[in-house]
Amino acid sequence: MKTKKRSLIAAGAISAVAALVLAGCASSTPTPTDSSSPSETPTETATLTVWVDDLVAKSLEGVAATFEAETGVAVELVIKDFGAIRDEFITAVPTGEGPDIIAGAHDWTGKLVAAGVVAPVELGAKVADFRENSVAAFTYDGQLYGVPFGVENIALVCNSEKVPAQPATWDEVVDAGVQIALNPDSGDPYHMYPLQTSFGATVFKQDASGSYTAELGMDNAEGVKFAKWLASEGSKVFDVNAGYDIVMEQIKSGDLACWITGPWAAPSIAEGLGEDGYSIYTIPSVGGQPAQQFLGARGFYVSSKTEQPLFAQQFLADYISTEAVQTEIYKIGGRIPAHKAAFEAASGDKITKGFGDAGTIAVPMPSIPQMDSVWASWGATEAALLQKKGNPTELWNKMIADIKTAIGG
Amino acid sequence: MTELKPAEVTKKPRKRSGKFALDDGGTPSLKGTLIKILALGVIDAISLFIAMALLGQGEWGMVALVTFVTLLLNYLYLRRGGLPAKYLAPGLVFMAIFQIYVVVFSGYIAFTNYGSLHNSNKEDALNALQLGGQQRVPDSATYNIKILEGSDGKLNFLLTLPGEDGAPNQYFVGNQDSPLQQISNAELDDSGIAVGLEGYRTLKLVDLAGRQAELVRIKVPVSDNPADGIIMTPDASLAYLYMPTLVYDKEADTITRASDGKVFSDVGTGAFTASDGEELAPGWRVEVGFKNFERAFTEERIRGPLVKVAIWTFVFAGLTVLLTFVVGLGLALLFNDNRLRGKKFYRAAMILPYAFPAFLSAFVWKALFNEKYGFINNVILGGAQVPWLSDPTMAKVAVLMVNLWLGFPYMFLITTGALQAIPEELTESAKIDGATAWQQFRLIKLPLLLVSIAPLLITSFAFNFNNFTLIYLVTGGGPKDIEADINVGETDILITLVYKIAFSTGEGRDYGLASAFSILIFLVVGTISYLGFRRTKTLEDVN
Repeated sequence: MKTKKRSLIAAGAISAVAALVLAGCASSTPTPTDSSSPSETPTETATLTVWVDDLVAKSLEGVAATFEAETGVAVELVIKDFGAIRDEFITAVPTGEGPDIIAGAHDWTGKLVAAGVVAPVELGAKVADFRENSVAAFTYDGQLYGVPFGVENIALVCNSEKVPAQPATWDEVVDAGVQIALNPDSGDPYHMYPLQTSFGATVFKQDASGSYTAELGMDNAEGVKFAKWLASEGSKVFDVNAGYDIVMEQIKSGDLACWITGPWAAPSIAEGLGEDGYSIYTIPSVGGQPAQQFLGARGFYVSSKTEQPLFAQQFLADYISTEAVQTEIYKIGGRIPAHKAAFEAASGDKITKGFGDAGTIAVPMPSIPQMDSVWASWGATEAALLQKKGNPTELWNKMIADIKTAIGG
Repeated sequence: MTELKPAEVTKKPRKRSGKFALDDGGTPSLKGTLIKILALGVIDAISLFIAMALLGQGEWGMVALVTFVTLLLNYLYLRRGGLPAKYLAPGLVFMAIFQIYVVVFSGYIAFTNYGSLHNSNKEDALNALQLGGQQRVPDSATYNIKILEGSDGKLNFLLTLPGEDGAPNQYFVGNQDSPLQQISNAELDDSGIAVGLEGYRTLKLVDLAGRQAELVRIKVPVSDNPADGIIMTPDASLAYLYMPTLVYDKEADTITRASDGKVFSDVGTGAFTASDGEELAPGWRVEVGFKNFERAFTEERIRGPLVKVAIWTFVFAGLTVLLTFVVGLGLALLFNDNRLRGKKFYRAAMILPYAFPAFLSAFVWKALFNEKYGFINNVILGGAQVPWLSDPTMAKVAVLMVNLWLGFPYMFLITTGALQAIPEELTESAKIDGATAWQQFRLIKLPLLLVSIAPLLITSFAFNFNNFTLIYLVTGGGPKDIEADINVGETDILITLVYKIAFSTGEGRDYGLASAFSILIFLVVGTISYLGFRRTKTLEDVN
């Protein structure tokens, strides 16, 4: 329907230009009678518009053609800058000009739902084909809002010579030497999170279905225990002034044994240490409980105002959710596949396998809108604790109070 | 006021054939006319495209506006004469689109609650709430479904519930208004799936293409008892059992939450609100009057740091202008001296910080300031641990230093130009009268300079007042005061504070509040600029 309206406008504009040009030339050539016919394509019944970043677009070209051949519904892949997709989508949907499907990050879910721009998707039995935590990542208030395709998480990356096997305890890692790329002002709660969860202090509590609630999970004795550990032990280990580039140099030159980082750093580390010179390990627990890092997932959302909800659902559930397509997306984008079979197929790759295995215990980063209010105080407080700028218990409780104000206000 | 002179010329007797006649632009050449008509044709085509697109959305006011502007442009360029208008028209059109419209629109948004929780209209909000208003019952059965069209055009669900462990399949039919009924007379395919029913037409996917939105919103009750749930299909091939979580009552315009029976109604604040104030997200856009402005002044978490940040903003902008002006002027005086050799080289070198993208410079400076590994502490200060970015005072100094680096070449350029425009005779006669170098500068050069430079100093002040990029990239407003109640840092200026409050709080993006703040900042900058320009005028009169 939409395409027809567009082509009508285009036809009008083209004929107007033609008319004006012809009039301007004062030519005696007769005006063509049906200048609008080439731009009308009555055979097309519908088009699914999909907003994707360039890598995902490339990997979807094949399945888009298959979908069109089998259903007669064209898939138009519109390439957008990844960072711009979310806000443009939120702005575009109410105008009726938004796409039918977008590819995005799972932590947008809360905002997209709150803005009323996404519809739930139903994977039926296929949901079991995906990693549990990737599905949980796209689940909000008990509803699944996205079809995942890739996941990302941090792990412990070590110099293989210095740490040849999976360290059993955190003390072994400390003895070898470990860093987290930090900022003296804002810390880095994302990379600190596995250490914090190993004390049992989660950022937000989860309800029975696994959805995050707005209730803080670190407002407890476990949280204070972690704060005390940061000031007493963490401050001896971590250098708050060593940012990403500095830690990268240290590990590449062999001065540093281990680094808690993500797959994005691995190719550069391999440049320094060689493909076999580094190993990817699970982060050992510090406080006794599993050191669960944040999981970030990518997936596809359906617009709440799409005129083709059936086709969109069909495209995602029957075409995107297959192993072949998920593998294709992995091959081009390099993100750890969220699809279990595709992950198995890709396990020959060291980075995919290493980070993927380390991330089986990862918990989705909360996508509730309240999460935005947490980062600033959380990071600043951790940085302050590592620099021993005050009483740990007081700083932690002050942080909890600030976050509560920010969420409540 | 010299610009107006050409217009006065037009009033003089007409001189049609003259080469410089401004009233008719001379006799146009054939080539010129063709280019003109072609260009107008393109503009008209674009306008037509826009107008038809707007027509499609029923935006009649905008259609009229676009048509009017297009006709006006055609009139201006096709008539003879009116040359000034021909020059000014494109600029005015762009000013209207990119300046006036933006300001007016921001002004309007400031009086609404537009934000991520109030993104669209009520219809859309209701649609989204209803789409997400039910949950699939965990581990419940999956039905095969065919869509039937009744003689009344209504869509019906024909469901097949596959029997488990060899039990026979069960078949059901139902629609939005009549609950499921078990049937036994359905037409079956080879695998025992119901594909048709007498009196109904089975719809294929192709037939449903135009009714998709209708189909996925159909909720077929399982029985007369609402607690048994509803059947919905997301893809017209499988259907599942759902439990409603939010129930909309069309008559009363209220939504009831199934889990606790709480009733939410439209109370005019742009969201379904319960009696205890709880709101359902998403809400919708409504006009809220001066509420956003009130919040800026009454909400404690905003008002608290506002004064401190406002003072720092003035200090930051003022000091930046002063420092860059002093350094730029000093260098300009130095390089304006005829005795200096290699002036061209030095001048080119001076422009470098200005030619370098500010984004890059900001990042490089940030790295240079690193407390332990940065070049400044490590090399220049020989290993001193100056907390450039984490100490409140030092961070302010650091930001000013970076801005000085970025800003002095501009001042250097404009003062060099202005100095060269000051006639040499003035300084010479001053010399002869026995004025010292300082007197020459203070009494002759500086006042003459200020006449031409003062407006630029004011614009520089206005620019730095809102220098979001620098603060955001170098310190991010930090160091954050961990003792403060909200996320505000020591180097935050008003515009970065607005960004933090309006765009990174728990409520997501709040465009309404951000616009209200922008208008307040606009008023402050506007007032200062107005006063400043008035003062420059008196300077001008003196000379």
